[in-house]
Amino acid sequence: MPTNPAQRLAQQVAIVTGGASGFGEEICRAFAAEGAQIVVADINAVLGEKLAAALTAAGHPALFHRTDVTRTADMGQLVAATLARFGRLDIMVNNAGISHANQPMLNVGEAEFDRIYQVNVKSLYLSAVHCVPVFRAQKRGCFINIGSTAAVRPRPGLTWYNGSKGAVVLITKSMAVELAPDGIRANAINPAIADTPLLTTFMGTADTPDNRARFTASIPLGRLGRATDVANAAVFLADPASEFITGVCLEVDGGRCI
Amino acid sequence: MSDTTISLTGKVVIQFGGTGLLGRALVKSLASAGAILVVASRNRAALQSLADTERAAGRQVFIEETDIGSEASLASLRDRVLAKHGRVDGIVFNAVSRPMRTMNDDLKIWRESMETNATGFFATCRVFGDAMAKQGGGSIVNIASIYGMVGSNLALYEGTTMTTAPDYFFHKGGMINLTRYLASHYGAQKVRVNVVSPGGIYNPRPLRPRNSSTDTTRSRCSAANCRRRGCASASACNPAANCCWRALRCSARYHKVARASCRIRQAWRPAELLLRAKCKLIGG
Repeated sequence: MPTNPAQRLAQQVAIVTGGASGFGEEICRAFAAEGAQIVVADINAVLGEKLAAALTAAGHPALFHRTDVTRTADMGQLVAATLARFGRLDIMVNNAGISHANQPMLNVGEAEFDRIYQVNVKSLYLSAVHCVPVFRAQKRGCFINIGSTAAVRPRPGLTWYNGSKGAVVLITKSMAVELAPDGIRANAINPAIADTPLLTTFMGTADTPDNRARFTASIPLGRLGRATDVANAAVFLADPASEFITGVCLEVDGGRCI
Repeated sequence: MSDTTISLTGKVVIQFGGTGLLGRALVKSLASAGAILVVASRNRAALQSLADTERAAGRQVFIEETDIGSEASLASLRDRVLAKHGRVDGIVFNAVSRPMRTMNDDLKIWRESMETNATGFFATCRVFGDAMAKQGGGSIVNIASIYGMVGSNLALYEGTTMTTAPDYFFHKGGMINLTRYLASHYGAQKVRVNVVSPGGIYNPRPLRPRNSSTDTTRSRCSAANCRRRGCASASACNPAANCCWRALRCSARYHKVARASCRIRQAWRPAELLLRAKCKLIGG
């Protein structure tokens, strides 16, 4: 498909981890619509292949690569596959994330705690290990890490998840200052609770109108987040026009964190 | 699917303060995005010049002489805009007065600063926030500064006669937190309120020397290229302006202080020092 220079991400190559569903899927679609070439990285091959095929069918160059973001071999192969197919990498969206169910903090077992920190935090380390050399060689690159309002305004019952997202925010800022001399930007997006597959995990209750209303009441603009909200913010941060924005952790939260 | 184009076509936007370095870039950006743009300022001659320049570039802006220190003047502006355009979809508050120069200036000058930068700012947000709430929604974008978030690093100014004025740190900090207050206040009425905080912005125009000492420093500056300050002149690298008009339509209400900050690292200080002597800084 010929690139259209009017598109905001024309000729950009992006990896989106956790790209097969939720925020990640919408980020893939938004990036593709703005002209980016997409690598959908996910552990769910069925959904990932389906999305990559849909994007390709719509005329957007896209590739699925099965990836467990907690494994360095997977992340290395992901980056290698991206370079092999598209020849470069401009944008790394670290979106893959999990949470324990909303529950008292001491009810969360050690194995689940470890798993959360592997997926939400260690993945950033592995992402850096494999992407920074590529970005350094290009003298440019862009990390977008998906944090959470949980890092800024934590809710009870999600303590260990909240902590992992706090790490995402601080790591983002620290990456921004350390990698700035290399022309590499790092920003985060902090979404509010949204209508994604993780909704019931965060609520800790059934998805009923009453339970939704309880969470909506804490958001000044009066609705839950949408994946498109996060995708639009990701396009903004990835856009080369945002070349002077780094270390920002942007709340996309309807005012939840005010 | 997300929007694929960004447009303010048909949106009535009032920009306060549009004739300075950043202001002109904001005008260009907003007008280019299709906004029906009204630029309000006290300086009639500068407004006319701006309108002429924009017209020559193929863009239309409406100009309205306004004193933001006067609530009556603001109300009159609101009424004129509503009469002419029927609605107000957004305002961009970029007006600033910088009468204070040093820590030791007379308190009279501090008060003068607050009259515009604190009282005028609040009055503007209230007059137009109320108007937009009444019509069912809108957007306020305030232009603050990283100097509303951090203190000045005096080491940057060693060896020069340059100073940073304290009033700026006070009212820009106030602007950032008042933005949070206003976002809460108007949220239920679908008026979003956000703030953009640029770092220092490079001014390619020659500095008017205040004294010979500054001038001496300036002469050493030509070799010091910008490690990358914000750029107000080109829309392609215009973070503040881009943030600004995107914030007008983004779904996030509090477009969290987009810190277009130029991190001052130890190793950069010599360059920073020289740049500060050369550059007229806008917003920090």
